[in-house]
Amino acid sequence: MVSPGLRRFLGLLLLVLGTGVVGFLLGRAWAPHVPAPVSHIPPVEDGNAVDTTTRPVRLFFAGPSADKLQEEERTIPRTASFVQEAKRAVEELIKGPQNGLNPTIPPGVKLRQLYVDGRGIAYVDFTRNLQTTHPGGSGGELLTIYSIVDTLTANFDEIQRVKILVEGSEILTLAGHIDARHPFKPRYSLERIR
Amino acid sequence: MRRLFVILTAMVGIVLLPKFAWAGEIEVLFEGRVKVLKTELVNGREYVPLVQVAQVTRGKILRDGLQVKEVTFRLVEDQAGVIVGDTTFLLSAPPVKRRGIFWVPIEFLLRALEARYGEGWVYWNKATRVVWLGKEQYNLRMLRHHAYTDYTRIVIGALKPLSFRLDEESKARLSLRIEGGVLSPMLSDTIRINDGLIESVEPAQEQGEAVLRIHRDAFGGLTRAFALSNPDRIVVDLYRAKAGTAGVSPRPQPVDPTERRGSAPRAVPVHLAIRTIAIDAGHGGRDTGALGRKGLKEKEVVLDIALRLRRLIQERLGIRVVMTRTEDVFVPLEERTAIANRAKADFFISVHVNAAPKSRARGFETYFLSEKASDSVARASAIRENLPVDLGGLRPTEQEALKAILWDMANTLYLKESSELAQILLRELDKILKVDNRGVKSAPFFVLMGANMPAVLAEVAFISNAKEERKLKGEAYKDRVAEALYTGVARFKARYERRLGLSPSPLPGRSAEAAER
Repeated sequence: MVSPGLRRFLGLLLLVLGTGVVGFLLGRAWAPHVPAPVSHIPPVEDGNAVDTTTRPVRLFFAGPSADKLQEEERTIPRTASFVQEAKRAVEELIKGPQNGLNPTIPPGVKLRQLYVDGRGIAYVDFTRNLQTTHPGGSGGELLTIYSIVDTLTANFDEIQRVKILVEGSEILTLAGHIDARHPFKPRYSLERIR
Repeated sequence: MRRLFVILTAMVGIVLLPKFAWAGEIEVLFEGRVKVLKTELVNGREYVPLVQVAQVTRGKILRDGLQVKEVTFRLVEDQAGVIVGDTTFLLSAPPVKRRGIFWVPIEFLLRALEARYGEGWVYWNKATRVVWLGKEQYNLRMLRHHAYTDYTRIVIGALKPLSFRLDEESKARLSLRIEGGVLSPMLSDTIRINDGLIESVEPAQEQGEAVLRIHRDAFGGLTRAFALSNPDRIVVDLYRAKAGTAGVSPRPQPVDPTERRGSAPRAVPVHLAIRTIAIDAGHGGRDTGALGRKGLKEKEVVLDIALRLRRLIQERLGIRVVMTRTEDVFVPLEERTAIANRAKADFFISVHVNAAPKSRARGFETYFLSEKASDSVARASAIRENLPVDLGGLRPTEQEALKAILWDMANTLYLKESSELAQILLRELDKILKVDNRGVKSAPFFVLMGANMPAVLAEVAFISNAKEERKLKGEAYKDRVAEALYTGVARFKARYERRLGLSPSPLPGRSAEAAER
């Protein structure tokens, strides 16, 4: 027979353990989702040390004749969340190209916010001057839109489509031509279709 | 002194501030009560909750609508047609549901109030955002216009038969005087038409009569005014001037002799031929478009080219051209295709000049709407407004469904024709301009959506390229661009009509058509 004292002790023990397990599970469920970093790490070769503190990104800038996007590779710091890295990639895009390509985002524009919803749509929110200082022209507008869209979709598997916002709001167009009310799918080259 | 001014300004500012916050509110003043309705923007339009409409109209909320006195309004989510008794009226935007509650565009509020207080008594001032019960019943409430092939019809809706007369004050100005006419306050703004025949209609309330001043292009043709009843309305038709009297001599030129070969002239209905072309000069007004390094503005260059193109088409093909703008004014993108749709244009060409930062890019390219882009908000409104199909006898829901199917079919057809038109225009630009041919492309252009016709956009040069900017400043280059676009238009027209088994564009053809009516 178990004494009442022991029974109480066991009951208390169960309660403590139970709370601990539930707490642990909840903690896991509510912790920010950290994508397994493994997927981003290049395979280790020849036993050489691999830099796990940075990652390469492919940025899309305007080609010399402004009818195509061309890539430039750059290295950004690796962080715990891909959203942070996506932000950094857009900020690098804003800084402009370093090896002879042409910029697609007017100087002075700032990224206000970037978030990604459960359907793989990235919402990229810029300051008003993305619209007000944009040089215009359908060509220039397409380059701006798809340099942002392609940069995000090419580097982050979690992003399939991109919606461009200005000062937190939906826009009709960026510079008067292209319908920006819907998320854009990537279009890796803006080559002529025929 | 200066400081006093600053303080005063600040005080006035503080007094005014709360009013700015009322931008999302409407005051309803009826029977000594004031009720403030909060509005919200849904897809850029102002909506009010149906519950609040029910409160101010003392109506009864139904499962699918609202009842005010004996009038029942039946609403369907996302459908702009409201069923009232056995008729339907169209809202500017469809009702939406939020947490199970209907929200309706604000004009629904006015209709519901009319059901309570009677037609002609509900006044609404857009500027002060007040709705009130008027002291005097207005009897003129609605102004519509529609461009037909050879005339434009203006219709003013009346609540009872009224006598009127139409005076020709000058070649360019007519006035319709309506005896005892009281204009609804909704009719206070000048209505811009700019369909190549009428520039604008300006309503004015004068002592004992209402006056509509109709400003038209200087060469005026015949006019007539008459009344229709049930519902009462006054109609003014303004005909296009006969070619001879207008001083424009149409010289239909065979554009390409090879296009004429092949089909023997047949007796076919004239209305299958291409009769109207819509030209859209990009940007305008506060929307400057792209800027050249030397300051040349896209909005000015493209208007200039568009007007040159209009002249060439009118003179050489003798067909009608509808412009989305003929001066430096701002026209919203969705309004541009609406203008073309209303005029029942056969195809739509938007003229732009291109820009790309820090690039030596030059040359021209043409665009059409990509397939996936047609699936949009614009499409829904285009279905409602533009399909010229009489579906009488069907229930509104059936009509909507049928229209959607027809629209899909039409869209597929337009896609093919749009890409063909883009291709033809590109080829002609290539022949005449001798600069970089950047090809035909497709992209989700806002201005091409909702066009109930083949539609293309041409970027004819790079204003960001110093050399091209210089060329665009001169007359010669703009003439060459217009000439190239004109040739493309003529070629497309010939090809299109040949495909329909028509003889190449019958000469002006107005007389044959007039006889038909």
